[in-house]
Amino acid sequence: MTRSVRDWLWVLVFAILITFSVPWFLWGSASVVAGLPVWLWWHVGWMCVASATFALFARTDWDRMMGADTAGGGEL
Amino acid sequence: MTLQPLGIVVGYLLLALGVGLLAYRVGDNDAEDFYLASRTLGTLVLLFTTFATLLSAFTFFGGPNLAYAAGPEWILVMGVMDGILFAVLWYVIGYRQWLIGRAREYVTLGEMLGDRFASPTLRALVAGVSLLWLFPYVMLQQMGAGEALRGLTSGAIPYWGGAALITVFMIAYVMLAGLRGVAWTDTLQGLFMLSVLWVAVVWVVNAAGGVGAAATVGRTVARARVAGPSRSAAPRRRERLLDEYVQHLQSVLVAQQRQDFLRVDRRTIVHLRGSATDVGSLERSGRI
Repeated sequence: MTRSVRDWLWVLVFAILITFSVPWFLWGSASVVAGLPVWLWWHVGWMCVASATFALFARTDWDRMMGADTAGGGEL
Repeated sequence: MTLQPLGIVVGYLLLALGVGLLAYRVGDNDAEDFYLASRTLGTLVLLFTTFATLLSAFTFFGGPNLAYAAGPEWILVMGVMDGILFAVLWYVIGYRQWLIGRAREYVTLGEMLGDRFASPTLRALVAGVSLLWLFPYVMLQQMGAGEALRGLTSGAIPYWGGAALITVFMIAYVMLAGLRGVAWTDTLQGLFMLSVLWVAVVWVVNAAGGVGAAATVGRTVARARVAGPSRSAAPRRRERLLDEYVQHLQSVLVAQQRQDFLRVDRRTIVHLRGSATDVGSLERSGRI
């Protein structure tokens, strides 16, 4: 089974989502925005980005990529 | 008095038992229903049972210690593992596993993998690995329960007593209620933990003297942390910042005490004067 460009894009998107979910580049930053450390705001923002990404994935390519219509049938 | 928290714990256990009984009555009498609630869990219950499962004894007893010792960013490391990594695994592997399991009527992971690779050895290996790694994880919950009950009752319930109580309850509950009951109490518990967490945020901010004061504390701590954990890096700066932080905490405490003192003082004055009951009017007229 060959994967389409679209599938690889999702792989890339999830890789980015995981890589930047812990703000390691803000590690040890002392900046405080509105009373909270800036890395905490990154976390809040990133969770929103993640929610939107997952929502989009679930609405577009999820069932097709999981083979939801063929499960139990041909290729497992 | 020290046994009062035990009453709350036992009350909660009884409530959970009621939910378990309800789940028992709803459920069927087969393995698929016991282990998988007949594959019928909806989004909300699934969400909260995952949430409550991930918040283990480690979250409450180990997490704060880790965050205190290694920095609050570690909370993010744990949370993000659960939030992002698990989510991706759920979407990509979990859903497919559910689809295949439903189509082929698999109940356990070992069953599915053993069947897929036609290998009873693999099936036994998966079962063995699961048992081996789940044992310490479950034992951690019992240890946490033992410590919690000992702490809550100031030692009136010994560590082994608390751990034994929860262990016996866990075994009885799971035998009775199966996954459906566990998921239902998890939902109850998840909602409870989530709301208490936000109550705690409000409470902590108030105790620190409002959002402004909490922000000052946060800023000072952040600076002190960046100054470095090693004492040799910037010892003077680090010590100065820690001093600042301690001074700030002291001023917050003093301010609170002074407020309490003033409150008592005013009440006493009002009481002594006998007639006036409205402190505000006394203040406005400049009499106190």
